[in-house]
Amino acid sequence: MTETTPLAAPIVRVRPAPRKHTIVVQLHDRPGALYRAVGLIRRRDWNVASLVVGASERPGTSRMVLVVEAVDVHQVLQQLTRLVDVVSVAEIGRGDALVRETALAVVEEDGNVAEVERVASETGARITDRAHSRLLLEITSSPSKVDAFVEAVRKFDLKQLARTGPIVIRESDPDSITDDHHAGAQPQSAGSHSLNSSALTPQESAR
Amino acid sequence: MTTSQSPQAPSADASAQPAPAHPRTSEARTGAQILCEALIRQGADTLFGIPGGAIMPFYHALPEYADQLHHVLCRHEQGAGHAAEGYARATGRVGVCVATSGPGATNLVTPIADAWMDSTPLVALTGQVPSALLGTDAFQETDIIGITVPITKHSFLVRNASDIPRVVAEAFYIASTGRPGPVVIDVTKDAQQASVVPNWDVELDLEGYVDHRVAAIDPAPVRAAIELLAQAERPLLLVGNGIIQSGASAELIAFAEKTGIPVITTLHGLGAFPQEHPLSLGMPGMHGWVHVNRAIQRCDVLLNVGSRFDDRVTGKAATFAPHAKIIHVDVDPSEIGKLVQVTVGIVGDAKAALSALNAAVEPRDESKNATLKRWIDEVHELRAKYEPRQAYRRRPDTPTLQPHDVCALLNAARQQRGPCRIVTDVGQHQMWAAQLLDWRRPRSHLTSGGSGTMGFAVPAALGAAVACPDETIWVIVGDGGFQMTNQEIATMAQEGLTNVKIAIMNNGYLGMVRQWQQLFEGKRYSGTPLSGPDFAKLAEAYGVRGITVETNEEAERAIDDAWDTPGVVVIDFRVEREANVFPIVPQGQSIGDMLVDPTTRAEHHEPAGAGASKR
Repeated sequence: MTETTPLAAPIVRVRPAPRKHTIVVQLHDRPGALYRAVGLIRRRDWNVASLVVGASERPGTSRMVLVVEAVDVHQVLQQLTRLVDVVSVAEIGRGDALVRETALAVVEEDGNVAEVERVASETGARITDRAHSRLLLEITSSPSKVDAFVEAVRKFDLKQLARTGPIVIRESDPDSITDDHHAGAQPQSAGSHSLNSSALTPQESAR
Repeated sequence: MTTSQSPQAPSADASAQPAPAHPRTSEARTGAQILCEALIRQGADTLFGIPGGAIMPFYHALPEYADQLHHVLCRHEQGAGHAAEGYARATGRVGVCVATSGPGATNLVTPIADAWMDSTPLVALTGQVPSALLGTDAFQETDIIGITVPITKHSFLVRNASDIPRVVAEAFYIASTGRPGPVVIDVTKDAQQASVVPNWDVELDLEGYVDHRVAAIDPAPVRAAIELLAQAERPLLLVGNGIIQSGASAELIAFAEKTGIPVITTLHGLGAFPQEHPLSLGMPGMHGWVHVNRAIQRCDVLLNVGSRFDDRVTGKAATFAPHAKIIHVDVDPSEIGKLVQVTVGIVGDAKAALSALNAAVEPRDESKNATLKRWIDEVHELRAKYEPRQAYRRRPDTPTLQPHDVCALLNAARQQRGPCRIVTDVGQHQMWAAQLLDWRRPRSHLTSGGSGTMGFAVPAALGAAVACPDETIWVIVGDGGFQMTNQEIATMAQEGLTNVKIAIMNNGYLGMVRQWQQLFEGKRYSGTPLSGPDFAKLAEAYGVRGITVETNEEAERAIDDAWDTPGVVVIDFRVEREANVFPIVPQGQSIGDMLVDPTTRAEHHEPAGAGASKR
């Protein structure tokens, strides 16, 4: 066969590298609901960086905050939306939500209490308890500040460290979760985002 | 919080359903009785299952409802599950299978996975150990809900009899709406035994569930799609299971005729668009026709309605349809953009979307006609060059019965007989049947696609035969798949079914694997040579008729004989052992690079520049 008509340039489709995305899921407190959501992330081959589940403002539902590494966050949102027990799904972009994380650290002081105190004060942590030669440090702040805190306390004789992963609340629009659900219920063109577009980072909306 | 679908969501007591057999609304009765009544209220009339300890209370109640619920006792729960799938796929209604806890439930896992992959509406009802024993590793306790989470739309553990009306209504609603799929209802033994007064007037509690079929089609992407199609010089329609599931064949034919766009049909779309239609091109993909795959690689706009870009269709996704802007219509928003990036996505039911497209599209004018004609002529020229069925023409140099001849004979006989459905298994015969039979009617082709479940065909035919007693159900199956689930012939015999005819393409190999070994692994036939019993004698042992066929003449006679025999017939076609399915796209490669039958043609590669683009 020879070509009879000239062809347009081939359409180039490139997949970007995985990025971290913060996703808020409101789901019913029913047996298996959490299992389903977490199992979905695993079997679709996405990576969970952190996962926090707790009460939401609405009785009978929980709020789950997931940090996921994925190429196609749209697909993560869509797959979570398919779950029957999931009430709403939204990705949180930078700047449109309050993000907080807590970390606790136990440090063995080695004659350097002053130095520990200085680090605590610089990173915004509190020294919550002192027993024998050990100091308990506590911080609740943005993930980047918690990162800086963790890095700083590693310079000491760090005996224990625990951190929660971020929890998120949107300051701007208290009804936004409800809106997400309604947006999901109304099919849109896949060219735009099928979920609440305002919840997306500009890069994602533009994709 | 209310949701947008609440107004459409029926209550548990769907008013359209016939009155229950036992309208003792104020009387207390057992959970098992309520379960039977709930199934009847949902329109179920047939159950495929096997009893066992944890589901015994349900079986104890069943005879009271025997006039409305027909129970088909299968020989293996996998058979029960596939039979329920066959019932569902033949009718479009929810198939129901029943099993006990533990091994009964785990034997349903394969058909549940199959229904998940092929979007088949299925409700699997399983018994569970008494709730007091849950989590104690009790006898025959298995966490069937945990096991099936990845392969179900949803599942329910019922511990209270009073929950049964709501749960059954929700299960049927979820299984049959949106993108259909399987739902598991796991009922503890004590919930089946407890006595309560059922409350049928309960609202479905499905706030997080969205049925995208009922939402109006967004006009914006429809306009965008029409615009793209108007500019297209080489447009192509790709249709699949979604057309059949939503009953959109009439809308599809109208749209194709109004626009003049040629139609290609996936494995699960066979029958959605009549094959003899001048705009029908055939099946794409790994074993699609050369001209169809070439059309995909050449088209400039591809409109996919109700298929999901499975890798068996796209080959290497990055090289799929390299010149095409893609429009994707799907009832499941997560499918849009999942595997292939699309220019326009339309979320919705195929029927509604095609109606919207039909309403919006302008009839084509003269200049458009000329452009389209050039495009269709180009594809037809390719079809003439790589004439699909021609490639399988009987070779005079071999006396052996060819599988292609069996397909051709079946196809010819089918034209003269009444309505008939064909159930295929998985493997070479499945592809030969898809390629070589004429598919004209939705739901006339039943097969296992996404999951590729060998052993599907015989039990699925059982389900289809129970659902369609006035039609002949032909099974085309390999000797490998047949040996996985042929025990269900005993079920057919017990049911007194007369309308199942089983054609075994017996080549003594697990043929598709053998073919790959031959083509790609230097003929190392590891684990593929396969012996079997004398299938005709086996049929007779089951109390049905068996025929062995070794020549074309015998084949023709046997097919007629089977059709005329008022009973199940098994025909053992001893076919050419190393016949292959061509064309073939090696796994993971571009559909532009197909291997065609080396005995008749050289390999077919696309000319440079057409499909060789790198992404």
